[in-house]
Amino acid sequence: MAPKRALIVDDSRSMRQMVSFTLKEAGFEVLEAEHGQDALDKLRGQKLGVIVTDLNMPVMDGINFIRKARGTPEARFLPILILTTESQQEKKIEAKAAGATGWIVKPFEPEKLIQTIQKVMG
Amino acid sequence: MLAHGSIMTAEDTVAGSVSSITLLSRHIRETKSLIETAVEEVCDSFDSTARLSQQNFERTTQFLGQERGGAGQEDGANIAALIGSSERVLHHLLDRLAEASEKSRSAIQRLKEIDERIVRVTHMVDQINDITVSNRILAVNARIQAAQLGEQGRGFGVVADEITMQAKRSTEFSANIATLIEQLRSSVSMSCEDLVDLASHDREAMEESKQEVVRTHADFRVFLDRSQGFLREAAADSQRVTGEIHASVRGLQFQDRASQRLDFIANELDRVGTEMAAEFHVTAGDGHEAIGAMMTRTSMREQREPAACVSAGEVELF
Repeated sequence: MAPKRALIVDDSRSMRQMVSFTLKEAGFEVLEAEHGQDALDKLRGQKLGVIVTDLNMPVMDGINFIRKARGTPEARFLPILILTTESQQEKKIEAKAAGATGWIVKPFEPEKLIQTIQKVMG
Repeated sequence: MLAHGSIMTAEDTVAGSVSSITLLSRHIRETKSLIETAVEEVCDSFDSTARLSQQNFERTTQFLGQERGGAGQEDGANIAALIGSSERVLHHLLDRLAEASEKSRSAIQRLKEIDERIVRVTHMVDQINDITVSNRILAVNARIQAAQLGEQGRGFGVVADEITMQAKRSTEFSANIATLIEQLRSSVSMSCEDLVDLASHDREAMEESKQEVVRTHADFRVFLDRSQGFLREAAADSQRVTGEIHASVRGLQFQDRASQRLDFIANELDRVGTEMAAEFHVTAGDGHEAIGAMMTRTSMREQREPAACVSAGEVELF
């Protein structure tokens, strides 16, 4: 069974708080990162169940983060969900190619986010 | 355009616009930052509210013994069990007291029987006294006979003396027995009275205690039921609070969209300002008069100043 530990990657502290709050309510332990590079550093050596990442972030965006994360043993087979305000098809195709598991458009419904995460975690 | 009595050139106007654009861009970023800070504070508050609410819910359900998948019988159920247990103990105690009271009644009955037997012994002592009197009369007759017979009647005299002596001892013995019997009867009577008082008092007190125990337990059960009702409502409220916060989370996400749009506007303004400055070879600093004019004509200047917002809530005394 996948561990109930999630990594939230978003440059907006309030968004991280909202996602974190929602996941904690569902019994998750939560780690937070401000951008892709920060997330890569923080996932090292961690046993995670899921990653939820924003798309547009400084230093390293979500797509690049997913590409690099898929090269690490910690996140190779981990479900990675993109949580973003964007919904262009091209971006979605790019994200899927990079290795994203799913795409959620902000603003998210807390219950729906939990359901989606539980579904991708199996 | 007239400013301080001089005619502004086209470069001055452009420089003023560039400065205005720069200033607007800065204000937009500051506004975005203020909104972000406000939403973060709300989120912090929600987080702690939700945590407290969850803790409250968990503690309450644990107290009520309704924890999902938990051990089941927790504090609330234990209280109900304790009431039941104390009821049983008190009833047992009252039963034992009733038993003791019953035994007291038996003891009283036995003491009364003893008293009746003592009365019979008293009658027997009276009979002994009667015999003693007869013996004395017999001794007197024997002495009279002895006197009439002279030397030949000396034997009668000896017998009469002996009977007189026995009668005297018998009288003394009877008197001692009568005294002892009287003391014994007095003790029996006092013990009997004490036991009667005790048994009667015990019975009344026991009945009162029994009623009091029943009333107290009934009150306690009502209180417990009410408390559990309140706690169930409180637990439901705690869950509702969590639900309300969930609903607010969606609403608060406007800030993320608003931030991105404000970023976009500020970036566009910066780009337009940079292009205008490059096109007309002016710098933002050249248009300080235009900035002054803009600051004067715009409303709510204080509210837009970050310093005013940061110091909100602070008290300054002079």
